[in-house]
Amino acid sequence: MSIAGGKTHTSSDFEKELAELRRMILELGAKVELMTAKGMESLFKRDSSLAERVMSWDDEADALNAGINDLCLRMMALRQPTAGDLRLILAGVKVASSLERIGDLAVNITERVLELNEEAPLKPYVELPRMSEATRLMLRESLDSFVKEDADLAIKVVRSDDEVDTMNQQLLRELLTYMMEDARNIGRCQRLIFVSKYLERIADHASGVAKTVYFMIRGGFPPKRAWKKQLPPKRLA
Amino acid sequence: MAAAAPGLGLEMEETVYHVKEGAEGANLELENFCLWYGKAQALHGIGMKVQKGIVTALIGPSGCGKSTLLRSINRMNDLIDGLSVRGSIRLDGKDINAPGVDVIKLRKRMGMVFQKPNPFPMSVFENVAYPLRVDGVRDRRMLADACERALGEAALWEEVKDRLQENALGLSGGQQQRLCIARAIASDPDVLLMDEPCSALDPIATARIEELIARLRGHFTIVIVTHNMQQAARVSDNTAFMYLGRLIEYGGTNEIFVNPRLPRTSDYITGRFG
Repeated sequence: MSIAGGKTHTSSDFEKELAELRRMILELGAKVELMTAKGMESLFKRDSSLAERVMSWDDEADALNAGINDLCLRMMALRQPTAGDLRLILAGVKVASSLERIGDLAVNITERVLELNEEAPLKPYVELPRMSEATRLMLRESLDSFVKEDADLAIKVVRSDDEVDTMNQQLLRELLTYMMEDARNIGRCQRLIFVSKYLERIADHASGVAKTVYFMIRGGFPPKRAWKKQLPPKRLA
Repeated sequence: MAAAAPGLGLEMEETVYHVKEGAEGANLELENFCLWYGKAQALHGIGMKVQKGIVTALIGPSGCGKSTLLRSINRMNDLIDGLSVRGSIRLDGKDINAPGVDVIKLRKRMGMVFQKPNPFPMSVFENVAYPLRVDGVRDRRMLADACERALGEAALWEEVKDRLQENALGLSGGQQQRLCIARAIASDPDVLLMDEPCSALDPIATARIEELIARLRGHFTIVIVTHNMQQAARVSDNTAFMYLGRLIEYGGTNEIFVNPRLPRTSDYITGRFG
């Protein structure tokens, strides 16, 4: 069952406000997803002007977050929401805040890109594009779980977080070897480690969005083990 | 359990319970309680355990049987012609509809407050002393003490202590309602029944009554019927949602308003009814 039970509200104004909240969250989600994607593209293509464009989109993301907060505050004060409506509004505030942070992290990525573009490339990117793709998928699926009110998809997103963490660790180990090899690599490696960390934080926020969406749909959290990836049974040697 | 209701879309539904239990358990138990006005059935198989010393709210759309249920608890419906009941309502384990039950004694154990304040056209003091006088108390000291205690509990003493001999009809609406609550609790009942006690009051007077309900919590088992869902959310520990004479969902107020178990409850409290 969807949280509104497929029925419209008796107050059409309230119904419109709830629809507007959903629309604004999706708009903010799409914006920060694009910022993350283009931020990483500016890294891979060494495109400083693209990086600066991404930075300029942050104000719009901040404004959308502020708009969502205003709308939610107004609905709470004037409509006294309950049950699914209340959970949607609470989720709206929390999700918007996470998405706004994702936008900030995308800006952080582009800041490192501008610094990296002033030096020669360190190495071809192998791990980062995979990590970027996995993070974007998590973000997109967390938003899909919100739109479709799909609790199973929300769980899948949370379970994917471990993969991004693992990739972050792998990249860290690889970059360590570059730093040990030649001290002149340290500056560039450090910036790439930051980028990797930002992606990992974006994945964490996407996972947080998915958990909030799960709560919005079900009105509670599953047992902790549900968030963990189900490992295949161990084979006997 | 809610009985099947052919054609009303309720065939599949049984009452869902997730009641918050009071420290002292239930002292008012309804079991498969049905009520007919002539041939029209108004209540269908109501089963609920009202927890002692905490506040239970009855909510639901007009005509769902909330007030009928409330009035069944102190047998006020007895006065209606053609009324018949089945099932049981037990107060401390004793069936209130059993033959031989003294209805006056029963009602003494249950204070009732109505929608419109209905003080008697006599002094403030006499209003509160009335139930004790009916009980045969003549001692002036005892009456004065009981009056001060009841008015104090009803958060009215400070406002009327210098006007005890004035006519109660001269008080404001909110004061009159608190006076009625003082009268209802003067004889120290077990259960306090409130039928929309704030619907005729302004927001400030309403807030005072709600504060009073919070203060009385723990001393009495309170059952309140209200159309104002925010009020039910504010004052009660458990909420029972009724629809078409059936108990649909009965559970902790937090849960009913944040995460109701049934779509029908959710539709009603979010305003998506019908």
